[in-house]
Amino acid sequence: MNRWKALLLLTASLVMSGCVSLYQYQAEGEVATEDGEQRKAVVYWHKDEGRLWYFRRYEQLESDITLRVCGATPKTFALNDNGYVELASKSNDARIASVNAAGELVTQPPERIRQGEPCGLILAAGHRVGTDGLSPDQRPEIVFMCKNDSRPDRYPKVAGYRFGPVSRAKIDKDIRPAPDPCR
Amino acid sequence: MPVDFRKPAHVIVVHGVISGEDDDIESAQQIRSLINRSLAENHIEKEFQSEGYLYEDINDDAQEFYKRIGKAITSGNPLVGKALETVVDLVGDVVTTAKNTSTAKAIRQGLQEKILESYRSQNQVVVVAHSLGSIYAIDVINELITKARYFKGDDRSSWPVQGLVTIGSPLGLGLEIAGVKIFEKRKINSIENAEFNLLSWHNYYNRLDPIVSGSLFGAPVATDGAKGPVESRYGPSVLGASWLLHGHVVVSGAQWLFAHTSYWSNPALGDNLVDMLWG
Repeated sequence: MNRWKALLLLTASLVMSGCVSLYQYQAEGEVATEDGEQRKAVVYWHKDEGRLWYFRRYEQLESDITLRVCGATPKTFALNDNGYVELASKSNDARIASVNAAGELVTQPPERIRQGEPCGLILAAGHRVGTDGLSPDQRPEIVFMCKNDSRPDRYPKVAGYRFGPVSRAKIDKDIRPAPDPCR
Repeated sequence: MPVDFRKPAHVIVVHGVISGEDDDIESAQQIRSLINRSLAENHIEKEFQSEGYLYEDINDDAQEFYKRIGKAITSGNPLVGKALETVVDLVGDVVTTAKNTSTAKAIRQGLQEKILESYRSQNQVVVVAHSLGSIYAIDVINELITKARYFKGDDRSSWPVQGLVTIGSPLGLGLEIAGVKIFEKRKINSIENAEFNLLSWHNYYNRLDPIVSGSLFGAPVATDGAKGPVESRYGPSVLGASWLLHGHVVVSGAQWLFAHTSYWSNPALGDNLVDMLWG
């Protein structure tokens, strides 16, 4: 009897786990450091696709886009209340550029900003986007707008960087590989 | 003593509901692995410590009386006895938090002391709290903010905690069971005179995590962009208190309770922790 109870519990667990696959989106490119060194970089994010255990169709994109730069700390572009991702400023950052309505980067006098203000954006065809605005083969532009004199390594040099086309691939949800920025 | 940001960072990991003992808890090792993986994959080297704040044994001591009753009732059936012991363990952990018992106070006191131990040795601290642990983490950080010697405006070296990461947190749930309010909304205390610096609170959640949604069958929780239950409940109150709450929807290819335990292998969480500590 105990064996049947254990089998029932195992079956219930397997059923509840459903059938959802994990996909990884990524785009490769390069960014420049403050002192002009070119570094390889990659942005990535994930998506669930499949059916829940009660057979309802389910799709969900992650809300963040993560940037990895070879030999530097990664950066998280997080979804804001306006529906696009931005890189939030940190302590003592100064904004020295901004993106206008046409999607162009324009310089501005250095302005010390409060933590959490936008220091980076991701554009596609000149428009601010989130993960739901980037489909395979689109080429995102990663824009940086801030610098920090006491931490010159914090951000790439202020500029817009056009990355290669977005690719998508199913990945092992147990291993969860993430892209190597130094490939 | 003020925080020295050149010293190795300390990550204090607060576990959630678990049946078992302190020795069974691996959350600190899991976070250590996640951060080490991010460092290695980004080709950078940094020094840090990841330590768990373990309180399951404190909970178990408080529940010992009820477990003995359970054993007496089920003495003829070991399987049922074990199941009942597990239920007492898990439910007891939740009730302890909800009813603000002396056990809950002891747990909070222990966590506060662990944080201040790192602060006294001048190491910066980021707290990572999973599931029920996020309740204790929020409560302790709030308590520290009320003490005049800490969190002095924009001077981050006076902040015993530099940031909070909650994962699979039930803080967004407003449940009431048998007249007991479970996960009652916490007041977020304000960091006075902080004009430029905010206390970062990153909340990671999977829409299929039943601890996040309160859905026993793991139905996806409703969201508005990255705003889930925690962001909806706490968002309006945190900015005025000089906190900065970021909601992060994550996915894992897993559902139900498997989603609740899948955060430990998410590379984006590891990358964000590295950015919080050294970015």
